[in-house]
Amino acid sequence: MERGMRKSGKKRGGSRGLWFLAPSLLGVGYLVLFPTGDVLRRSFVTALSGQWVGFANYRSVLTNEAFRLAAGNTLRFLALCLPLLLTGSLLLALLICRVPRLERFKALYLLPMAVPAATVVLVWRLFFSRQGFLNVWLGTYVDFMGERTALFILVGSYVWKNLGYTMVLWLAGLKAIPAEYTEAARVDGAGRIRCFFRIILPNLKGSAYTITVLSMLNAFKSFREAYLVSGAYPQRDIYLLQHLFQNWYTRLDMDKLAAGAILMALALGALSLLLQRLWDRTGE
Amino acid sequence: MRKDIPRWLAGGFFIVLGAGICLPVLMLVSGSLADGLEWRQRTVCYLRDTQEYMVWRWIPDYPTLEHYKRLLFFSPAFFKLFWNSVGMTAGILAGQLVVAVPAAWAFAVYRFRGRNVLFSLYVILMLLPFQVTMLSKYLVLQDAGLMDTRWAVVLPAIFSTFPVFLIYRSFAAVPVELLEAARVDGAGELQSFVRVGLPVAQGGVLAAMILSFLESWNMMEEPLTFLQDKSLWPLSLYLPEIAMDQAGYACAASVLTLTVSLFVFAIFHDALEQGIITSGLKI
Amino acid sequence: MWKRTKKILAPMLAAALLLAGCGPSGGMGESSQAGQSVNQGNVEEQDSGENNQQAMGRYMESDIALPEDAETGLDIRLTDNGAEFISQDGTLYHSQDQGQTWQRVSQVPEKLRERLSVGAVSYFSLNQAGDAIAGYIEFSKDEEGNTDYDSYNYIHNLYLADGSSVSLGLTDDSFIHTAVCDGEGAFYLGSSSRVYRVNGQDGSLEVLAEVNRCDYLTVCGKYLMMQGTELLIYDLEENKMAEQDTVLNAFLDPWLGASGDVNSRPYLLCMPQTEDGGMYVLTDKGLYHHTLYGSTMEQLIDGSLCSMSDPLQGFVGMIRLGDIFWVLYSGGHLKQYVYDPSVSSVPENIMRVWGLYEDDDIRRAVSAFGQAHPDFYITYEHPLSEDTGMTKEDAMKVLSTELATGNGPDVLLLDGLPYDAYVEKGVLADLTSTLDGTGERYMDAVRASYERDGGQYAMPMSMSMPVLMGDRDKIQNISSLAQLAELAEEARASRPEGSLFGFCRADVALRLLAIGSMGSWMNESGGVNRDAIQEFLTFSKRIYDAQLSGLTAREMESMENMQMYVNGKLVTREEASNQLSNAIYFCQPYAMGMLDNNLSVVGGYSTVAEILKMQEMAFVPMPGQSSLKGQASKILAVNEASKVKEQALELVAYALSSQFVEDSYMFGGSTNLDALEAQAAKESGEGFGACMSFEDIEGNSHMISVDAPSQEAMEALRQLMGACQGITQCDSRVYDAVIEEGQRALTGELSVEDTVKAIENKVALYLAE
Repeated sequence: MERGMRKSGKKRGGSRGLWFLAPSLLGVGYLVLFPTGDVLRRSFVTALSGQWVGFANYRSVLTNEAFRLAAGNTLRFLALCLPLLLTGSLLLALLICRVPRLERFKALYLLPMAVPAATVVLVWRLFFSRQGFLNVWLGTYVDFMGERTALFILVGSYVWKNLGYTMVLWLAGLKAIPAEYTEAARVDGAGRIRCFFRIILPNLKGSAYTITVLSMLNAFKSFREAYLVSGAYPQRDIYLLQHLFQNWYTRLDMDKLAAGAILMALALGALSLLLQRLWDRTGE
Repeated sequence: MRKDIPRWLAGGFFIVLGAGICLPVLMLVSGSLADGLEWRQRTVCYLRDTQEYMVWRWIPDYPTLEHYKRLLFFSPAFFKLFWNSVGMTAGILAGQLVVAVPAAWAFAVYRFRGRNVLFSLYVILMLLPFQVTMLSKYLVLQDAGLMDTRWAVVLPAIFSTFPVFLIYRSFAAVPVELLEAARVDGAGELQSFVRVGLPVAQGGVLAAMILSFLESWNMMEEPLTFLQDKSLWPLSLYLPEIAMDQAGYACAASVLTLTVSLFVFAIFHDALEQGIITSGLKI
Repeated sequence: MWKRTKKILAPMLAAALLLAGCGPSGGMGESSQAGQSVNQGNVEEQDSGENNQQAMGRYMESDIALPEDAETGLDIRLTDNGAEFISQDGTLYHSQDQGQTWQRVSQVPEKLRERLSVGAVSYFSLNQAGDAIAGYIEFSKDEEGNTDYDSYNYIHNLYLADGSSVSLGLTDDSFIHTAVCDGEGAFYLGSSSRVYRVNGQDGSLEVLAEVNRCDYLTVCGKYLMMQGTELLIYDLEENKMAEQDTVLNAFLDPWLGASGDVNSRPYLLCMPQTEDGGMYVLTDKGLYHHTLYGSTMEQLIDGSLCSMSDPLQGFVGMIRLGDIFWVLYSGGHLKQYVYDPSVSSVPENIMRVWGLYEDDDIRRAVSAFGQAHPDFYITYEHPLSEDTGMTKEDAMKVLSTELATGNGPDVLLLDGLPYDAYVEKGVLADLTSTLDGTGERYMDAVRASYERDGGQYAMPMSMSMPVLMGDRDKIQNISSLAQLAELAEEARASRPEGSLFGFCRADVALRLLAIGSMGSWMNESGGVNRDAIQEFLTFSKRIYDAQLSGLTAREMESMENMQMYVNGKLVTREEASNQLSNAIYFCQPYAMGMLDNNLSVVGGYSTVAEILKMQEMAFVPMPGQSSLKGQASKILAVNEASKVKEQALELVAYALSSQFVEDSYMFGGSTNLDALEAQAAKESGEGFGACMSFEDIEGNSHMISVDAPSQEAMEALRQLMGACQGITQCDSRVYDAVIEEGQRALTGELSVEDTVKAIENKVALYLAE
């Protein structure tokens, strides 16, 4: 299954491919990479006056309690919502594979993705505020968004929004596995579960990489909702890196922001490389 | 062998869960039909933070199309912004087609020096939150004299690395035999791309475009930062921040925004399906 | 299923999109935001010879002198050979030379004139023939000729030019808001439910239309425009309602107040005598030309460049004399607008004023400063006052970006923005020499509060002091929270039922008590002052308990209804301002609040003084941990990187000058000592008086007549302001945390100690950012 690309790669080497890449590279270089480089520069200078301070910004960020909390929270949020979304949507995709007639109801799951963040927040308020419906059902009077439950609301809302799309992605990966493989395994007497772990899962690795990275991207987008519902200083558990970045930005702490951003980029880079190594071997 | 879960149960579960997931969307639709006064009555305890509960009725006491009427007939701004959104989104998608598709092809098919590093870089750039590079982007756009024009929003979006990442996978799925066959037939690089690559990855490209569409359609921070002139703003900035007594109006506005997304879904649904299959395809 | 849905959905949407395309596409009135498409001086295309890029031509504003005896005007209108002006007492003047000289033409009957000149007439109109129509209240007289204020009649009269008068045949008692006459001299009346035509001979009324509300009537050619919650059009020739003008309605939406605010912004519709179907719409955004049922609203004059945007100037009337426009403002200013092709259509220099929210005083300063500097185009941006999806942080982010890239606004209104962060980053200009150079006296304590490292980078226009109001003997010596708590408990003991203070909710209690204490919640190093917060919560709880132990359900409910909400949120400042006046309504023994401009049941100081007189009450600085510190608002600053820094500083100095502040909206708390005294002198002057009546919670009616405050009352107020020791500076994050978490301590959900810990926990982190 890992055949192909690498072999062909030897033949299709080098410069010719760059012609295809050139326009994108130029634009990305100018409009994305160059500004990111500027951020890197800023991480070594003072906020607006631009004096060189070396690693002082990094030191102040790394010893900053708020940064540590936010980084920890972001990590925890990812650790909670990614597995939940990935397994949940995979299970649903498997379900569709079992009962193909369900395909037509897929659209139900895709709907939330198109709901604007501002309206998602309205729904949150209706359900989870002190006067909300959840309190009606539980007979309590709790502000769920101000308690530790806030994190779970954020995770829930993320899963709600992305479940359908992720499911469709898995489904695509599943359908691409030639039926002969699974059938051969069944003939060999492998059970459903065994078949899943031995045949299906290994074949999904490549999709898994794409899907995970994409889900991570979407997870970062949850910030807008968290922010709209509880402002710049939310409940402690959902105080994410983006909250901190935004607060720094509004107070013109561009130096800290730059250093924090570079640290975040490094972490993301490491994570992405790790995933690539693990799952996306076509990329070697 | 263990007995399987019955199909009807599985199917039932799937449908019920799906309906549950759609519930909030239905609430928006229902909410958009209730007038401001009714919203106020329902949520007055929230507004005043008193010890009562909000009420919900699926069918409003006095159903009204007032919000839609106001939006469609009495809000010139709504239309202005609507067409702004259409224009920007179309520009972004067209640009991405021209730029991101070949780039993805290059990443998927060619082995050049630094390919891995470059691709990882693309992924990191994609994942970095906007606010981080906002200031630096502003400076770049200002230098280029693009501030306060549509291009300030459109160009950076065209060169977003997100579609490259997404389309890459569908090109990676092009069987190498096919490429070799084309080469044997004397196809050049460009011909292989157009004749062999594109047809196979067609769906994947469309799928990426639809995601890009949703992205651009709901984009908020970029126009907010780069467009001072409010007459250039997209529709996503029109949705008033939802104060509860404006909720009906906001619901109607988001139902309309949503409808456009649905429309795009509907038109491209099959393509999306095909596309996601190829983009997820891995052999 | 999806397939079929798609088939149905697609044409529907296609239809919707089509509709979108050809919908009210023309009515782009809203899109011409200030600063952008300033489509000025639409007249002929200027030949771009001499000045190749710059568009030339703009209407320039200048004053026209009123007739000698006139102070203000009731209307202006066009005649065949000139213009007519009706002065405040109904006297008609005529001018044939563009307002250079005026001839008195006629006067209304003596009785009506008296009432008009004191403004005691609810509607008035005078037609070309000299007939007048008016309505007013007349109190009955007893046998001895004394006025009996308890019984009165509403008089509606038609005064014919021959001196006779007839009573109008008004059959119901609905309130008439407005009267107007058309080109033929026929009168029309608008009431809260109907629009009438008046029979010019016998005064009988004919109902033309039943409406929701009619605030204002104008005649535009053959159309009668009825302005209420929407704009309705009546065809006077066909004698029936005409179709609504959707473009015009859409344009006027923000003014018509369909969204709730009743006539919050002034506007006026007008039609020149020429019958080209065109009309003019005058708003605070500028003067627009519109063809009835046409698709465009064309801006002729940009309001932000002239008096039109001045919030103190209402519109009374407008005419077009050839190419010149005349606008009569409510303050008695008659201005003309003459097209000048030699000035550039948009001033070359741009100055930007920026604040989170719109402020009328700043708007006025901008407008006045702009008139004095015709070469400057001054924009005033206030992103959060507009109806967009922008949040406060979004707005601040945009501001940060602009400041950090050197494109920031020139003048900043710092209310709600982080002063210290901006100073630290060096984005604000030092105001010290500017303020020193004005020769005006500002409150030293206020200035000192904004001093950082030897420079002063901001200065508030207004300052309000927190006060406690109540029984003179009891409150005189109270200055600490502990004493206040004792007072509350004693008061409760002697008065087991009823409200003591104006709150029934924990958060409101905290907000009110905080005004005298929040200034001490942070220590020198920028951390939380734990002990202060603990003390504050401990005593607040005692006061809260004392208040609640005697409240009935009904009192709680009516208090709830009196609370001020702004955008669905309780706001400290407004709430606190309201408290003092609420105290009268509730007949509460005590009230805590801010002594500032919003205290205007009738007007600032006078009201306070009256309340005190009536109930034998006094006020003292609000007891608490920082009781002598005031709260600032309208805080002005200048961007250090501004390209027009000099003028920006000039604008700030102007806005802070006594000349400007004297007749601003601020009644109490100018930080300019000269202005403060001038205002005080004005209010204690003669000719000030009003009468108000109200019902308290028990249904007893009260009447207060408000006269100019006495010398002592003024002196007490001046002393209070003079005692100000600075401006409260409490980080909003600390404040929010104390209010939010502190409620739990007050309601007993959490012990005070645990609450303080929770607050500290929450805040320490954020302060560490």
